[in-house]
Amino acid sequence: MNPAREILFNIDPVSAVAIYILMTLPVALLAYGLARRVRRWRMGAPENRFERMGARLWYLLRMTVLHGRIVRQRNLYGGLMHACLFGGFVTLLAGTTIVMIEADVAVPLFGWSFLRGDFYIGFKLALNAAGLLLLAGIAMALYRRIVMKPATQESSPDDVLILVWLAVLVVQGYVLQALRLSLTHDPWAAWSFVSYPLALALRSIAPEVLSQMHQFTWWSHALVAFGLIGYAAYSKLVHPFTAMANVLLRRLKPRGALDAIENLDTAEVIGASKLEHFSWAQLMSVDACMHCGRCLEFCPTFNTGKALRPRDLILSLAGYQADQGGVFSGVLGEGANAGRFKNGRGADRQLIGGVVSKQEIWDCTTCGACMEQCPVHIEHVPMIVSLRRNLVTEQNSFPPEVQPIFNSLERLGNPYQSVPMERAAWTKKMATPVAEMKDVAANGETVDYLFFVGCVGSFVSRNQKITIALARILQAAGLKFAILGKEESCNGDPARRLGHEFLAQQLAMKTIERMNHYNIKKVVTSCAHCFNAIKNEYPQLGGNYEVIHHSQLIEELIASKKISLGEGAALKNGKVTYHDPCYLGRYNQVYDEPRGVLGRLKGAEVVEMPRNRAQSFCCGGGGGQAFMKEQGAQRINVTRVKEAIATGAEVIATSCAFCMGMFEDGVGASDAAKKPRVLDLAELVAEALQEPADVKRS
Amino acid sequence: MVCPILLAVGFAILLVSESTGLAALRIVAVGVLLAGAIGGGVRAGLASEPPALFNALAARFTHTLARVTILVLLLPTALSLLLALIGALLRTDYAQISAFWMMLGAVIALTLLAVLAAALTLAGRALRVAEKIL
Ligand code: SF4
Ligand code: SF4
Repeated sequence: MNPAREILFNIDPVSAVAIYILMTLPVALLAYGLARRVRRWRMGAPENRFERMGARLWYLLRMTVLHGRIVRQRNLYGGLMHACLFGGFVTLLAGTTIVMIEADVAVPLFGWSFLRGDFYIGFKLALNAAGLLLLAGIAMALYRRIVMKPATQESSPDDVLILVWLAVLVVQGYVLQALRLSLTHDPWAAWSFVSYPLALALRSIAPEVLSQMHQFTWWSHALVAFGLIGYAAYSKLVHPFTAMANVLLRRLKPRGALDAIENLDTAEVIGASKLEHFSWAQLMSVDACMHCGRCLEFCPTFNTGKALRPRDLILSLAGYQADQGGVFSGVLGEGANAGRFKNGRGADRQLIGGVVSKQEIWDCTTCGACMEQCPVHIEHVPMIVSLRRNLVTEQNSFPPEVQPIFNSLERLGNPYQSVPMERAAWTKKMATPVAEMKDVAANGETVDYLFFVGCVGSFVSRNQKITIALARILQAAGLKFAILGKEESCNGDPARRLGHEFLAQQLAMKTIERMNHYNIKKVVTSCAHCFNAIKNEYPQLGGNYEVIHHSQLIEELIASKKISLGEGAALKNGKVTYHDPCYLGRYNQVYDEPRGVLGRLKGAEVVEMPRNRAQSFCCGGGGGQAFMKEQGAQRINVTRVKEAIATGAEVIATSCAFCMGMFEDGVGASDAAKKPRVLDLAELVAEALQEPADVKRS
Repeated sequence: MVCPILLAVGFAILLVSESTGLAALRIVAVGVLLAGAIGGGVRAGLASEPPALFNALAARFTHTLARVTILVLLLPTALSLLLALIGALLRTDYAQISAFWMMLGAVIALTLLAVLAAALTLAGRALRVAEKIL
């Protein structure tokens, strides 16, 4: 006997017709809910997100089927939970589709029945297993929401409802199958290993009763499934649609590059004061948020109790979008989905102030930890900077301490109110002179590298030591390099992240003009922010250079034996821990080279902080925060310093000008009995340098 | 108008298919019905003033019906499970069933019942919280 099953077993013709008619209602509701959202997205500004479709599709496949960003080492429970839910659900959905193809296409059109024999047995096995997988995922999810309650997760009735709904669907599926098997007595029934024992238990019941129970359950199962389809667009279950769309159409430009506003002088509006000022893709992205809270995990503002919580910011925008005719993904309520109503409700609110508070906008350090974590590629930072741009340019509204920074950048090309003539003052402390580009060019010479020193390295006395250390290393390696000297000005990063796009572009253009004038090909920087801006943002304005961070160059020099290291005093007796600067690590994926450098230092015992590499914790200095007053009792840099001290390290190593300042400050404020030293990689290397005779210590 | 017409045509084809036994027509009917439903939903969704019917349905559906539906539709399943359990307990003389299957059946039935009970409790709790909020 060939194993197979009768499709629509025990279902009368009227029910068979009615079910198809009924199906149209949830499908129409789903289509309606999705179209309402699409209508809102289309109101956004234009942006091309359709290039390189092949690569996009491949990436989508990796992220969905293989769960690329979902299963992560630090998020194993959540990742596996989702994998169970996804695997179970997709397999069951595929099973239903196969039955439909058999019943409505293959048999009636081609007289070909494939759902039989060994394939049918495998099919039954797979579906029974898939149901268990889905139930396991549901149980894990409920356990996490009700018992584990991670700080980054808030549960709403909608969350529980969806899980219960899915559980009911699976249990009904098993019961329905058991009822059928108890009536048909199929000899192969035991392959349905979950339903079969149930079917055996049911066999003592009179067949007429079983038949009626089967019909009841068939209808209720169908209606529960239809309900779920209809509800999907109005709940978090919409995420297979919105999240997949967002992953597929994600931004492909370097993550460290904020989009420059083109035609600044003629642009109608700068930044975003209405939802429509965001691009359509950004509006789509806020609807893709499924409230998972992963963006909170390493967010410095969330973890130090500030107003800004990236998830709530996104949900506030999504809620506002719903108020203006879109659809929100879930039950709306306070407490749960708190972000939705945090700043009030209604379509008439102002975006800035009414939906997102100014404090939230100015809290952000632009560290990118939220974007790194978000499994659906929502990009918070560009949206936050858009809001800042509007505040600064259109509303002349920013924290008062930022005004002198803007003034100084505008007049003097640096944020410290220092005169440009003083930029190269540090070179006086060098034993071997450092050339300036104007002199190099005047002599008709060229250089291997332009050393872009940056404002912090030029003017802040603590950071001048790092600049000197790097210059010594370059000299020891015999590299031909020069600086711009007083022709250098701020690269524009702080102005851009603070929302002053005019000033940022003005500063960047000035630097690009100088660098292009000298026909610069390669640039080395000792600041992660200079590195990111010149590497990722200057190409937008016509500045294309090969940019290398000093940690990368030093690693290269040691590896190629251009410099050799002896013993460094700082590391003689202690451990060293490395802090990943956000603009070097997360934004540019430079993780290994700095560690490589530390590993080559004699006597160095490198210990990692619990939050490291892509999951590093910001020092609190990015996004212009180094120039602003930090709100709230808990300070970000102190939090990070505590983490570093807990490793037992005697040296905190970093490789960014802003990180250095934040750590020095944090160590100063710390009450630890034994305070670690904060040193840049360049300082550690310069200290251990076995220098050729002609490069003397400064 | 196109979408209601599509729905009506789909319905008609489905009736013909079922009454004449021309099963090949069923997939055509399903296709036309889906086109009508999706087209109708999309058109209504993209309209600046969506039809009141859709709005009302969507609102009811999301906020009340969804939760009631799930509770009501659970009953036949719960009943089936209960019957299965009773069946497993009462059956003593059925030759085909080994004690092992009996026990396993009861265990699985109980597990599933526990899942349902937990689900119901949670749904109840969720409902109470939701009612308070809304
Ligand atoms: S960029 Fe950093 S500070 Fe800003 S919201 Fe994201 S994680 Fe928080
Ligand atoms: S923004 Fe991304 S990470 Fe944050 S809650 Fe939404 S989906 Fe999750």
